[in-house]
Amino acid sequence: MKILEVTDMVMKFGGLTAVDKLNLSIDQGEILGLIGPNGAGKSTAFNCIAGVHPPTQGRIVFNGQTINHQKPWNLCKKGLARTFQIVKPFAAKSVLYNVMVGAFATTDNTSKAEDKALAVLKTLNFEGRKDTKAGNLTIADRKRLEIARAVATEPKLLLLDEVMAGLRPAEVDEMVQIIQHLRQTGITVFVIEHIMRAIMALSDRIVVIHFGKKIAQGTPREVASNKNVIKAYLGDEYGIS
Amino acid sequence: MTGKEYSESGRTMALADKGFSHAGTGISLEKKILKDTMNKVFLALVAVLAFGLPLIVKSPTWLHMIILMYFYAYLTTSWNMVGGFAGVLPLGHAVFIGIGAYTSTILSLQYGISPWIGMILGGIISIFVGVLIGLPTFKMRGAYFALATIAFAEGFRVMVENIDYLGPLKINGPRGLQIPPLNTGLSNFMFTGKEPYYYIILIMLIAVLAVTWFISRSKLGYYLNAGGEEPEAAMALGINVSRAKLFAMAMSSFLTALAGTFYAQFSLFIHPKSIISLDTSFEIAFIALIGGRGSIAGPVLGALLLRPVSDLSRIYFGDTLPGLHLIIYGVVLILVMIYQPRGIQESLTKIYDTVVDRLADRLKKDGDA
Repeated sequence: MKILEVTDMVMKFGGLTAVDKLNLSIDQGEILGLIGPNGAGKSTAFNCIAGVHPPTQGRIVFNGQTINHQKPWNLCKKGLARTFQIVKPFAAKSVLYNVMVGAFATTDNTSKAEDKALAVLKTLNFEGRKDTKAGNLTIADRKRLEIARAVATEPKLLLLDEVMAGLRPAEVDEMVQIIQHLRQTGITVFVIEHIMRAIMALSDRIVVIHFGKKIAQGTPREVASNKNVIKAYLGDEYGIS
Repeated sequence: MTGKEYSESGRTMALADKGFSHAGTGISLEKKILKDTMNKVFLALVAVLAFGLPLIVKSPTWLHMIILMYFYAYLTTSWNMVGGFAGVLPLGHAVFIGIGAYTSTILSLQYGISPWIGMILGGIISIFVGVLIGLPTFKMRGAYFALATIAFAEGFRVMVENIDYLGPLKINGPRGLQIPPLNTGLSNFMFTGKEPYYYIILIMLIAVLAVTWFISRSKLGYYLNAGGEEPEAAMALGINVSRAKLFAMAMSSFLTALAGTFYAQFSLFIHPKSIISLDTSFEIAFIALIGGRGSIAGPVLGALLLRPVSDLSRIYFGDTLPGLHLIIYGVVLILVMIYQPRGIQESLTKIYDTVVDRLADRLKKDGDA
């Protein structure tokens, strides 16, 4: 079953076409990677799906419902959560407080939200930091907090926007494990990532976009050997040899 | 004698603000229970002191000052729901004081309706006005929002100053309205002594603090804080930020209007310059910023610290240096912002916590021995 289907999505900012007729779909329980060179339109595509920008054209169907013009908070309640490339923690508050904000998406009761937040922190091996102020966390922990908050909203589909950028190799490995664990708990994951090693290990399928257009899709192995992809990343001269 | 009371009740609020962070810091359960008990005892002590104060303080001047102190603590606590939790800086709350004061006064002068009923009606009208201000302005960030609220408040004042009659209602423009002190008694919200006013504002203050405490622990409190700090992230986590802010604004407007009625009945004379003045709006913000925005204790501590400054400077320097209190506020604000950006409540809360912690340790040792 498809949990997300994007059909002919176009996003224009004035004269600039950031996303051009993008088609993609994600199966329930899948991990789909979205890669592309800088400025390819990956985050814009994410923002369209997450309701930040309503797309200029096209159709986005989530869980059988068209969600083109839904607001981000309603999408979150329907089970579509996201993280931000530039992390946005509630810096003055503790980690637990941050995660509780997410947990309130499915409950009105403070102690229930706290229990749920603690459970999420536990699955992410993050309990030890629960009383730390979010503003004092390292970058790796901030990224983990982004995920924890999003997971606390009990999503069906989780959009991860470069959660591994800026992490050390050991931290990347841990993050890969965390994401794989999330998939086991039944969450479908759609991930943008620049670190090839991570996305190759993680994804079931990968979609590559360049200047807003899809240029390739397939298993990690297929994508890595695709001519267009190599050209987009390395330039024309390397295209054929 | 009053000095003690100020600092004491200040610390209580600090304690109410703190309770949350105790959980799970690795202290033994026994000690935690002991500390909780101590906090409760302390709160009870402060309550007894606050309620017994008029028995000690007989001077009407002092009582008047303390009433105004509570009045400002109340106003700032109401303001804090928007200005503190929701992370915006409204600088036009005098509008709601004005609406509250005028509504109840006009109704009681012209139609003989009890100010208690007028108080609630004024609150309801304020909700509408508050939402009306909030709808277009909550989309603005930072200084723009503050400027918009100032503009609205000033516009409202000028309107009131230039209207003598609004349909059948006598507003009396810049001359204001005087309430003849004829029918005293609880149902008329009018008393000869100051003590009843003292108890009314004290109960109002306790009630508004309880509401704030409740909100800060509820979903709404979390949502306001989140939306105030990182609106985009908050929206992605399922929060309709504008709606949360409007809700806070509605509550804040309602509660502020109640204080307007109190002030009208307390001073028995209202006119636009005194009741819808920017000075009042600014003073509320000053108190909140110095006390600690977004905390429960902050507004109360701020009022306890700054109101005496304002009153005493008016008593002693009113003729020679009018407005001196604003200069002092400015200096205090600069110092606080440099050394205690979260307001004085932070350091006072820490001191209180340390004292309770040490006391608990000592009591426990004595108990064990």
